[in-house]
Amino acid sequence: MRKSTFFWLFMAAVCGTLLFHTSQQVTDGRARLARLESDIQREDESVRVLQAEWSYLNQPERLEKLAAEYLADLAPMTGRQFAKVTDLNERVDEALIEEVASFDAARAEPAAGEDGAKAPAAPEAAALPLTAAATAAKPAAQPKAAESQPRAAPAPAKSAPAKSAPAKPAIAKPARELPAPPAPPRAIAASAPVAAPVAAPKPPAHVVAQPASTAAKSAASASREFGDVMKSLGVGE
Amino acid sequence: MSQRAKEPAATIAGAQASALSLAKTRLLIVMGVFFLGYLAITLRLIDLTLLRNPHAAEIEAQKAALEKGGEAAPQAVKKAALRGTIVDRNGELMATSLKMASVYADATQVVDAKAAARDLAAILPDQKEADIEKKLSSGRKFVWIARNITPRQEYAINNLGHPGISFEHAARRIYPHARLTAHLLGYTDVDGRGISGIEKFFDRQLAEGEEDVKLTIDLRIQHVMHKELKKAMETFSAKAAIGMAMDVNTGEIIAMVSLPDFDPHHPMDSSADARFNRNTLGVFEMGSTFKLFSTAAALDAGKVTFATQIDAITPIKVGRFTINDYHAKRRIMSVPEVFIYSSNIGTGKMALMLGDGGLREFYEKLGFLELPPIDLPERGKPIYPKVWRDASTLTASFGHGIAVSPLHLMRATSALVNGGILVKPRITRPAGDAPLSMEPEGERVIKPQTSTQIRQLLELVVADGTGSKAYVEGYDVGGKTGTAEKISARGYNKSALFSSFLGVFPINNPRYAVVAILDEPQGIKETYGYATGGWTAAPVVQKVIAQMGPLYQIPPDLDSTRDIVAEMAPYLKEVKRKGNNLASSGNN
Repeated sequence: MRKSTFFWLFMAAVCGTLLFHTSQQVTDGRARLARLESDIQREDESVRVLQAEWSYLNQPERLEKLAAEYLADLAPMTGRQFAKVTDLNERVDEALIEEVASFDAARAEPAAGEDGAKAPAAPEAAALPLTAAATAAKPAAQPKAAESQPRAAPAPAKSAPAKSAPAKPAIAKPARELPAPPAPPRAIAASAPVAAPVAAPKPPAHVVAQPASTAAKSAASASREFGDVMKSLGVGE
Repeated sequence: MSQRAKEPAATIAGAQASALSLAKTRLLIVMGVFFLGYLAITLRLIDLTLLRNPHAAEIEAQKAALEKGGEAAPQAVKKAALRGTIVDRNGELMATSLKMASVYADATQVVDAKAAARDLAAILPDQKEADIEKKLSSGRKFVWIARNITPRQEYAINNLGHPGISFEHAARRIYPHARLTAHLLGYTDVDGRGISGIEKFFDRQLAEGEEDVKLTIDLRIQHVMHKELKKAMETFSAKAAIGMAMDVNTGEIIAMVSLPDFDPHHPMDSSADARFNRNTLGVFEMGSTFKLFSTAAALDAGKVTFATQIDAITPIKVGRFTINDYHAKRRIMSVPEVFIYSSNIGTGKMALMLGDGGLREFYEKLGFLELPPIDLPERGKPIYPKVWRDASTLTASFGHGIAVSPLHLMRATSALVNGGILVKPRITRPAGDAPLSMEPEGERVIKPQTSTQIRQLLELVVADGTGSKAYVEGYDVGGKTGTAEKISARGYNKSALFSSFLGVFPINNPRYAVVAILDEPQGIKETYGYATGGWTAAPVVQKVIAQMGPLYQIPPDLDSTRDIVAEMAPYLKEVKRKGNNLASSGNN
C-alpha cells in the first residue's frame, strides 16, 4: 500500500508543479501582451505626432522660403519649358536647315543617299519651290510681326507658314509621312526678328546651291543629314 | 501483527461487521466521487491542450488581417478614441488629432518649489519662472502649469522627477497648415465636435476615426491662390478677397480661399467676418461676369448669332433707372463686340429678346435661384427679385439685381465651357480611389455649339479685351472681367467696387476655371488709379494659372496656329492692341 501511495503522491506533486508552471506562463504571456499593446499604442501616437510634424514642415510657405534660400538658382517652371516630342522635330528642323544649308553650300555633289528610295521624288520637286516661297514669306511676315505687340507677333507670322505647312514635311521629313506640323516655335519667331532676314537667304540658297543634282538627291542628302542628327539625339526615324 | 496460537482470527461479526461494511461502502463512494472529479478535470485538460483551441478562429482572423493590410485587427489598438484625419487630394495631411499632454501641479506635494520652478521654466519657454514658483507654492491641490505641451517637453519634464508635477492627456485637433485651410476645414469645439466646414459636414465619419476624409483640394494650388490673393488684397487695400479653382469637367474644387481668414486653433480670437466663408456662404452682385450667362442664353436660344448687330447707342430707361455703358462706345455693335466691350445696353437688349421670364428660366437652369450642391454646411441662398419684371431681366443680364455666391458662378461657368453639362461641385473624393470620369455628368443646359461660341468669346476677351492681364504664355486663357458697383443704403456706390476676373484654361479644351474677386479695391499708381477687374483680379488669375499649368503638366499650346482675333475679325470693327489702349479699356 505504501509504494502506491508514494507513487500517487508523487504524481500529485508533478501535476501540481505542471499546473502552476502553466499558470505562470499564462500570466507572463498576458503581461507581455499588455506591454506590447501599450508599446504599440505609444508608437502609434508617436507616428501621428510625426505625421503632423511632417505636414507642418511641408507647409508650402515654408518650402517656398527654403527654396528661395537654398535653391535660389532655380525658378518655378513655366509653360515654355515643356515640349512634345513632335515639337522637337520642328525645332531641330529650324536650326538644322540653317546648318545644313551652310555646309551643304560649301560641299560638292553629295553622294546619293540610301534613304533616297524612301523619299518619293515627285513631291520633292514640286515641294522645293513652295518651301522657298514659304521661307521667303517668313521674313516678310516677321518684320510685320515685329511692328505689332510682342504677344500678337506670332499670330501673323504663324498664319503665313501655316498656309505652306504641307510643303514643309517634304524637305524636313521625307522619310516620314506626318501631318503638317504647325508653324515654327514662337521662341525663334518672336525673339529673333532681326536674325530672320539673315537666316532667310540661306534656305533658298540651299535649294539654289544644288542645281545640278536632282531634286531627289538633294532631298535625300537633306534627309540623310537629318537622319544622322535624329539618330544622335536618340529619336528613331 | 504477532503470530498467535492456532486460534481462528477474531472474526468481526454482527453489528461490528455491518458497520465496517458500511464504512467501506462510504469510502468507496467518496473515492468514486473524487475519481470522477479528477477524471473530468483530466478529460478537460486533454481536451484543452491536445484537441482544440477555443481562440483558434480569432487567431486565424487576426493573422489574415495582419497579412492583408498591415493594420492590427480593430481590437488591438483603440483608434476610436481619436478623431479621424483629413487629407488633400495628394494625401497631404490637413487635420489630425493628437494626444497632447498638459502639465499640472499638486502644490501640496511639491517639495522644493524654487528648484522645480527653475527647471520647468527652462523647459517651458513661454512661462515666467516667478509665475511658476507662485503656482507651486500656492498650496492648491490642482493648478495648471502649461496646457498642450509638445512630446519633447513632456519627456523632459517627466525626466526631472520633481514630485507633485503630473500630466493630463487630452486629444487635441491640429491643423498643420493653419490659415491656409481655415475656412475649408472649419474647426472643432472643446468636446471635439465639428463646428464649421468639413469638420461639421463629416462630423460622424470623423468621430469614428476609422477612415480618412479625402478632399479634392490641392494644397499647392491653395497656397498659390492664398499667396496671390493676399498680395493683391494688400496692394489694392481691399476689404476682402475671394478665390476659387474648379475642375470644369468633374466639378472638383481644387482651391478655395476666402480672405480675411482666421487661425483654426484659436477661432474665437478672430471676428465673425474673418470666419465667414465668402466662397459658399456669401452672396454678391457679381456684375459683368454675368454677361457670360445672358449672352449664352441669347446664343443658345438662337435669338442672336455672332453677326447680329445690336444698337448700343442710346441708354435704356426703365422707370427711374437708366442703364448705361461704362466707357460707352455709342454705336451699333456685333454680339462679340457687346461682350468684349462689356456693354450693359447691348446685353440688356439681348436678354430682353429671350422674352418674358426667359432669362429667369435660364438662370434657374444654371442653378442660380437655389442653394448650390456641395459637401459643406455653409451655403448661401441667392437673392433675386420675387416678382420678375423686364427691369429685372435687364439688370440681371449684367449681374445686378441678383446676388449669388462665387460657387454658383463657378458651377455655371463650368457648365458653359465644358460642353454644356451642369456639373455637381464637390470638395471630397468619393470613397475608394475610383478615378472620376473626365466626362461631365449632369444635366445639359446649353448646346455644345453654344459652348464653343462661349469659349471663343472668352478667349477674345483675354486676347483683345479687358482681360489681357490674365494672359499666360502657352496656356490659352479665356475669361471675363467684372466690376460691379456695390450697393449701399444710398444706392450704388461708384467708389466701392466688387472687382472680379473669371478665367478658364486651356480655352480650346477647358480643364480648369479660376476666379479671383477683390472686395473694394483701391486703384494705385501702377494701375493708373483703376480698380477694375481687369487691373486688380486678372493678374491674380494669371499668376495662379501660370503655376497651375506646369504643376499639372498641362501641355502648353506654344505652337498654336489659332488666332482668335483673326477668327473673330469679321465681327469686330476695331481690333485693340494690348499695352496702349488698356488705360481706356480698363472697364468691366
